[in-house]
Amino acid sequence: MDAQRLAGIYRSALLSRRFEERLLKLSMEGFLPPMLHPGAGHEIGQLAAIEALRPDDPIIYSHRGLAYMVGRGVPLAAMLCDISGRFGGTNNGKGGIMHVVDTARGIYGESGTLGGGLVVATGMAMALKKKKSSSIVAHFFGDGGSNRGTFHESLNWAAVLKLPVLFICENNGWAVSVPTSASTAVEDIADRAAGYGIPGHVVDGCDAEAVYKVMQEAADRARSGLGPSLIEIKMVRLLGHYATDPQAYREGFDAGTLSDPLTAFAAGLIASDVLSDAAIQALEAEIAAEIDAAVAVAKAAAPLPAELAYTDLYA
Amino acid sequence: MRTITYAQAINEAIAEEMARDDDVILYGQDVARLGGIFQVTTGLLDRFGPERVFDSPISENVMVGAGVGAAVMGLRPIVELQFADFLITAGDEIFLKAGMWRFMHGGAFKVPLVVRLPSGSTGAGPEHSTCPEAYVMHSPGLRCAVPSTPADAKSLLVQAIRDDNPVMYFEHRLLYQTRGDIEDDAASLPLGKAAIRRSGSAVTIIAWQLMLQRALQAADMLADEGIDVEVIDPRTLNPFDWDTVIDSVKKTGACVVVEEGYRSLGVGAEVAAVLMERALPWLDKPFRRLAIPDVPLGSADALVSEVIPSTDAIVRTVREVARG
Amino acid sequence: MAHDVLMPQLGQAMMRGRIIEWQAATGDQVMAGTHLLTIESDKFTYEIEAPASGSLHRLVDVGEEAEVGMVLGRIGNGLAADVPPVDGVVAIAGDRPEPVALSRPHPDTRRFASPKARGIAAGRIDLNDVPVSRADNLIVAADVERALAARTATSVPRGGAIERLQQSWQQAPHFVQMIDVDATALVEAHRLRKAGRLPATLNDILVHAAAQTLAEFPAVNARIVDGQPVRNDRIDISLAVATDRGLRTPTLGDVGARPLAWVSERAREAIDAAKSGRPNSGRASLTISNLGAYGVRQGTPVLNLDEAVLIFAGAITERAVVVNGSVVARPQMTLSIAYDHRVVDGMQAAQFSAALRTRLERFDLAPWRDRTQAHPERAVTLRSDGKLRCDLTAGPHRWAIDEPLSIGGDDSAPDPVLHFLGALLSCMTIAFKVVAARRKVPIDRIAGDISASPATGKVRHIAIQLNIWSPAEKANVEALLKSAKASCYVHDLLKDDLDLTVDLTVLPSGEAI
Repeated sequence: MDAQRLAGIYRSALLSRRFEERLLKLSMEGFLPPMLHPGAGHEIGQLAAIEALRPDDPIIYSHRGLAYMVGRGVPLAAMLCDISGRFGGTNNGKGGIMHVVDTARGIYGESGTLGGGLVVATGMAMALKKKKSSSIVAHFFGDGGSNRGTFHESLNWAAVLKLPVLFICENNGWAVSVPTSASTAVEDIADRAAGYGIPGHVVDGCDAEAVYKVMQEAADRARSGLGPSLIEIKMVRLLGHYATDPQAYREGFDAGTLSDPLTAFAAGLIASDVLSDAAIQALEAEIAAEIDAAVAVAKAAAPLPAELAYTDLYA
Repeated sequence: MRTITYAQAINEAIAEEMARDDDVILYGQDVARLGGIFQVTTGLLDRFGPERVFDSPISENVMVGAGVGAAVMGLRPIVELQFADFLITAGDEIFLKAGMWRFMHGGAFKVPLVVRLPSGSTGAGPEHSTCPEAYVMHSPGLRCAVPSTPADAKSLLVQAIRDDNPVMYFEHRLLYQTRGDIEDDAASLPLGKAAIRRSGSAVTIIAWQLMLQRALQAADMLADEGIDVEVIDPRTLNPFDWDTVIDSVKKTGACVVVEEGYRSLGVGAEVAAVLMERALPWLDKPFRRLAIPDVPLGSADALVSEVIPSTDAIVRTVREVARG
Repeated sequence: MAHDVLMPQLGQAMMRGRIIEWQAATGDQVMAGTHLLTIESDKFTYEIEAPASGSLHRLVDVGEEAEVGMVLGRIGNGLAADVPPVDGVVAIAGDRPEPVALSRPHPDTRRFASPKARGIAAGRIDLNDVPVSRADNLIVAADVERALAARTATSVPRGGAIERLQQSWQQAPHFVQMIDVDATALVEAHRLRKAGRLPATLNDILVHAAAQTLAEFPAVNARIVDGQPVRNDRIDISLAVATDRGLRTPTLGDVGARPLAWVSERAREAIDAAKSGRPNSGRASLTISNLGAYGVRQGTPVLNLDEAVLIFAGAITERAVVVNGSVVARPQMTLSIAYDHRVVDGMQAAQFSAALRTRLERFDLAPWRDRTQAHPERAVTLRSDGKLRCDLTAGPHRWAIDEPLSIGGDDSAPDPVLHFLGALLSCMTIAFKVVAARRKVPIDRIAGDISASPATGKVRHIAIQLNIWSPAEKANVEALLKSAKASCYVHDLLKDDLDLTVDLTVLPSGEAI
């Protein structure tokens, strides 16, 4: 990836991180409900993956953070309005932060039930194939979701039909409070790909280049009609499962081994002269202002009326 | 005017819609090569090709879930689950994904999906015998069709395919070979409009599919005793034609619901509640429902016949309601 | 061996009863099968026979209430006369104490009625007065409708008469207006009745007049419900009738605007029923008590419970009255009308009383006095007991209509369509004669026939053939047809679109057809 792309990834990652930090603060203040599943630690991997896609490739994302939306350019204010139940959001108060939708930017929503998106993504790819579209579907899900039956059914059928879908498993070693060692029969979830006759890749989520490369390869394969791939991105979940999770279950597991991929990435970019400390500082200020502006918009927005409880059900 | 079977009517509906709209696809277990285990989808693979008519693995979750995804992207999939009981197997995909995907995302998507659900007891045991439409009637976001005649089997399926909402289409296996008249040019009743199959003045019976047939037989027998029964076929449970039912009960003052589903919290329970809410001053006789008494359906004929409402049971119940 | 005397359940709704009278005292010897005591529930009084012979021990006193199934007394040997009853359990000196049933559990006797039935019954009939027809004891709309229709004939006799009078006297502030009625018309009515010309008694005339007057004063046709006057939705009138079993008050239901003939018929039935002990009373709008036959001139009657008016008609006597400055003898009757002051104020009462008097004084006897001039009431009453035959009455006339055997009748009289055809042809003929007489066109006789087609089912076409024998010019006779049609009221009743043809043949006098 060229410097511009890398810088862009860093900017989006930093924006995601700071935005989420602000969201946590706002929920402590009571302006937002404590509904966030922080994506701190996942940003680089998610954004590098998205970078390898075309802008109109539809994404069904997971609950782990907001970098998907930030990476695709969904306005921060819109997301704030979604979470706070105000006019200006994307889903009319129906989905909160879990179902942000922006089809123009290829953000096609999320399944509230973990593992539920795998089957939907499969179907979306089925449609794209029938329509002979050159777009592909990217579905992000977690190690926890990969243990659902839907994983098996989706990968199997997508493989049989050679559907243009990328199954991207963000493996951070934790499904809420349960470590993968206790839940998952294999160390590398990508090993399961062989069971479906499709390529499986393991890649380090802190290594943007590696993620980008693997995603590109898989995307090309899918676009050329050769079918799906399973990409496992090893991630670091810096915070708890949900915003205020005290994570007592995690003591003794990865205490002391957690390093922040974002700071590591920044260090790498500084080392290769893509960014400077000054530039990063300037970026921080810019981002802070952007977030402030978004918060101001959201706070000024009117609360959604109760009547919306009944809308958007039937077409 | 032609006469066709219920199964042929379903086949015709699918064929006509697939011919009319390239976005309509059909898949399920054994539907393509075999033409369906009950031969309902014969000829469609030959006519429309493997890109539009194909077999799926035994994977109910992805069968329905992919239907949702494909519908979101603009196709109009018809997914056949081999037995209506599998509605539960694909529970997340039907009740949460199909039913709510549009709602959760603030109306950004439509899910024009049809799931065909062959229902009814054929002695195949507890997990292959139910008529589980009550679950669908209970759940927001899903339309529910329960056609009783070949003409309705066709027109309701056509309307279901054209509807932009997910429709759970319950086709009753024991009706596949029943014959009925069909008028191609006739305007068909829309979803949400009931049919009064028999006019009467003493008691209103609400029944559909196999139970409708038994209710009509019972009505003839009751006529001999001077009890004049009105029989209403709701045709769809969502939307449900409450106006027709309430108008009827205003006239008769008495209502009996006959269903092939389980009794507790079944369709009859909902009808009784609505009558209490909206027709109380006109209620003149006790409300009754005939349904499977909260036991699974066994396999032996004697056990199954014991719990599925029979024509005689309908006659006895209506007589008691009318006469006390 | 002691024998219990239990409070019986006399009606489905009966929960308890009260002892009105014991026929024997504690310690008396009683005989099995003889009248032992009388009890009362709010609907019935009932005489209970001694179930056994022996010495009586009374456990429940006169005036006391007991629940159905409770022991009221015991009959048996060796009962100590001075053992006090304790909650119905009796310790018998010398006997082992026996457990006594305090009260037999009685079946659920609440009235269950469907919402529709309740809606129909509300304000019109007490559900306790509606007989249940269903085995599940649910009262349905049809039961209420049946009870309403039969109300005048099926009300049970009111028991607890004393209590009711007491209640009425205490609750309703009574005032009585005495009003003198010139009874000339009434006396003549009596004479015409004796002559067989007027089929109505003085009572009937009173009832009829009271009903018509009450219709003009709807505020008087009311009763107190929960402390407020509530208008009755129809006019029912009770008659005080003396019978062997005492005073009875049969009720005529829905008198309203009924003609005198109807009142007369119903009153006769009601009085017969009361005298034979068949229960037929219910709550009414007002009661009429005509005990004038006993010579009482006026009185201060007690209203019946829940009624706002009671009219006591005194004896008709010749009295000296002043007419145009001279003293003359006139038959007079005094009406003593009691009113419930909660419902009726003095002014309303005065207006009502005056209106009733006027009506009675102006009672038109013309129809019965001189039949050739008067036009009778255009009303026919009907009875149809048995199969299809209908027996009709209008004034003094009686006739019948029936159907042929093929339809299920007895063929004892012409069918309705034939009657109608006869009426139409007769009416036209009569009209013809009347018009002819008015125009001084001589008519010898008229003969004709009328037929309707088709022979069965709805009448689509009527053909009339009239032959008129007259010495007058044909044209003059034919010209009468138009006027005759116009004067014929039956013809006028026909709808415009009924196909009717009239074929008129004028024949010279004496010519044969």
